[in-house]
Amino acid sequence: MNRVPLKILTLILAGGTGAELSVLTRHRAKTAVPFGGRYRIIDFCLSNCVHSGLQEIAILAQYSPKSLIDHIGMGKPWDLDRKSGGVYILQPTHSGEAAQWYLGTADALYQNIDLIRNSKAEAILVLSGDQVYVMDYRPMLQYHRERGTAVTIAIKKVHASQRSRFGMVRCSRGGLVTAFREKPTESMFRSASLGIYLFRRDFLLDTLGSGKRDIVFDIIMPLIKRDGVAGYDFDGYWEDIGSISSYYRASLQLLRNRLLITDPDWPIFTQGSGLPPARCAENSRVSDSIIADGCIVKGKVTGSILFPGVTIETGAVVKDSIIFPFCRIGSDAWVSGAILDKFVAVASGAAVGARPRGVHAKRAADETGGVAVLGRSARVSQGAAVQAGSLVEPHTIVESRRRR
Amino acid sequence: MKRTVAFILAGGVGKRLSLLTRYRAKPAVPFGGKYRIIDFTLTNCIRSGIDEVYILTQYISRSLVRHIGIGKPWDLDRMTGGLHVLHPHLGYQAADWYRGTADAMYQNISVLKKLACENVMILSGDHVYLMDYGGFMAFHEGAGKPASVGVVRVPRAMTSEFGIASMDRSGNITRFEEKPKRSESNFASMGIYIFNKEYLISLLKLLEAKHDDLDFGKHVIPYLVSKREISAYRFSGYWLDIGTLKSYYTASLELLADKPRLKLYSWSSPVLTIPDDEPPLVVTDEAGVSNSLICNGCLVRGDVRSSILSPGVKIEAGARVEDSILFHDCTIGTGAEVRNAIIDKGAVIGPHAKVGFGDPAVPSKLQPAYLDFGVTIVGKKTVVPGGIRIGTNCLVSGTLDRGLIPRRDIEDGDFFVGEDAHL
Repeated sequence: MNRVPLKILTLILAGGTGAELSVLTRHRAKTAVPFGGRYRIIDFCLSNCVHSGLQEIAILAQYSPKSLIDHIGMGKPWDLDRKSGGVYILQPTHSGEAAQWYLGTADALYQNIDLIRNSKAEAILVLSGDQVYVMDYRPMLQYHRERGTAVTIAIKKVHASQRSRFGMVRCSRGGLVTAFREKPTESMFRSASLGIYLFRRDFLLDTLGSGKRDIVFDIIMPLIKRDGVAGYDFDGYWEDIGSISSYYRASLQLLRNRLLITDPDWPIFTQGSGLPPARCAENSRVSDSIIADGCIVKGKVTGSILFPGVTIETGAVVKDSIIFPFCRIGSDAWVSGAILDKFVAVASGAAVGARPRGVHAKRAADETGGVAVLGRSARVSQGAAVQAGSLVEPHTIVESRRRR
Repeated sequence: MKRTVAFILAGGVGKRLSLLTRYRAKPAVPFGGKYRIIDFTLTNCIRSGIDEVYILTQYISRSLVRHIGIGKPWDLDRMTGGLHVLHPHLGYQAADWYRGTADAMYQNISVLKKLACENVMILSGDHVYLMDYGGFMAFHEGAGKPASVGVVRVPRAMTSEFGIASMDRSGNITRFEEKPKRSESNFASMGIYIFNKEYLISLLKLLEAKHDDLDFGKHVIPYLVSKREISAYRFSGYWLDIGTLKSYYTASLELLADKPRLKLYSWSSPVLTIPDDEPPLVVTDEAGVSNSLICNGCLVRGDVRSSILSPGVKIEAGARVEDSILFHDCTIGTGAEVRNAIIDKGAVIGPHAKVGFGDPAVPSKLQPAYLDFGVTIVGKKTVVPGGIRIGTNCLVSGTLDRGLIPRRDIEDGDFFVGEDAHL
């Protein structure tokens, strides 16, 4: 692979609250949400950078950055622990005159304008750290050079039913973006902006300013009128994790579309767990699943993803579920259609994701698409049940209703 | 505690491991799926607070040197101290290959002299065990002798495979026998020693003059026993010297026991090794997996029972693997069956081939002393053609350049070893 460094400064936006992921982002940034058995969401973006030969990457963090900082470390797994460049995390700081949080995507860039000013890069690539996709940025850079526009944004055709989720764009035959609508209720435009922006450095320096908060509204939209935005068509895998149900769907899709993580030509780099191999015990039954290091499976697992260090006891059944690191499913427990955050313990005989019965459960089901989500370190007591579509806050103890 | 620096002897040929050590040093032989044998000793060092480690290599050290790198996984990439590899070298004064374990230390006597430490620990890269050396170091200081050796109880029937020590009440060794058929004691030397550094330097000088193949087990320990200068520290945990193919195979599959004696599954203190960039294990809906250890990067579409799979192994649909150890990046083709086998790195078993079925009573014709317990070894990067049948106690290896072996059945005990892979 060509790893000649490109003269590009990459800024990964990783500061959002990720509120749409509910209990999964109570304690962590969305970019640090586990995905695909051993990865965090940001690994996909970082691996794209590495494979594209990008060697200076600043991650702009703000919301609950601890797990992100732990994960990135000094960038060794991505070979980004460099003498110069490499990866580093930038959080809001006190500057001489002002001290404030990042007020939006463009403001985050503006607050780090010295970084851009001091950079010798020809272009600034701005990425979102919370998308799962595989993309070589080099052809986009080539396209950007040929077009010579101030900004090039990556776009992708999306299905009509999905258009209200995205910023939709219209392009001219010549590839210029002629219109942009943010999350339209109805849209004739077929292509969505992927939140991947390539800026000419001089343009960005001239444009950023204290009044500009949002990249789309305050920079891209005004520039469209001046024919300054080119659209770069991308047709590879790209998924924006916008809700619990899309997280759940995109995760379990990996069981069908495993090339996303198993492509030997495009490995996804991440921190190692350091745990021993997965152990499937004598009477375990495992099928159609992704299982990470350090798991001990004594029960039945189908259609599921187990992160490192998960224990499934004898007689337990785990079906169509995503189990984060170090969860423990007790003997004869039953987990179906659920997402369990780190350290969740389901006691023996308990059930998670049982069929909803009451009205209350139905309302919750609308929020999560029927997936039961248990926050970090939640405990489901012996014999207790968590219904499908329920949200259980971190550290909650779910007791059995039946008392003897 | 006095400062202790460790030396790991990792240069032995490991001939009794047959094809497994044809292209690699014994300490670099994979164990337990994702580990190499030396990982256990390196993990013990750093967990015991030893942060300066010298590894003495000689025999095919490339894979070992690549594995240990700068010692990062063991936190041994240090500003001062850390990990160093000492290979035989030419010098101004006479220099040669290492001719014995203690000779290797003697040839690095200049390194020893410069060390800022009071004690030197001599370890082996061929052992599988988890041990806090802290207790051993404390014992050495308390015992007051210039040398100490770690000993462990072995079954009485096995004393003939070890150096056996008899001790008095305070732990001083009164008698040391090399591989006795019968003995009053069943404490075996673990081949791990602590010496007062200055004492070791003068001892090596003294004994090297008498034996130019100076060896710890053969010469140094008997000398120390005769002078009553060595005491024994009793270790009570699991310890295994990977000496033979049989001990390697049985110790590996013992990891599948419900409560294995070697405790790999400790979340707080796992065995340390180099991390991999492989995706997690993928098990498809047509697969069946039981009683097995399976690493990242494996894709299982067939049946796997009672086996250990290193990272990157592919088991195609309809394939069956049983009681086997598969090293990194092997492929077992569609409908192939593998039983009682060790398949080395990168080997490919063609579709519908059968490996390891036969009569275990027929020993290997090539290496009857090492291979007579009903296991077949397929060498590194060997390509077994589809449809053929390979019996048990077979040794099969293509060449590294061209792995493909001839398309004909291999009977029990028979072998095919490609040209550059002489044994």
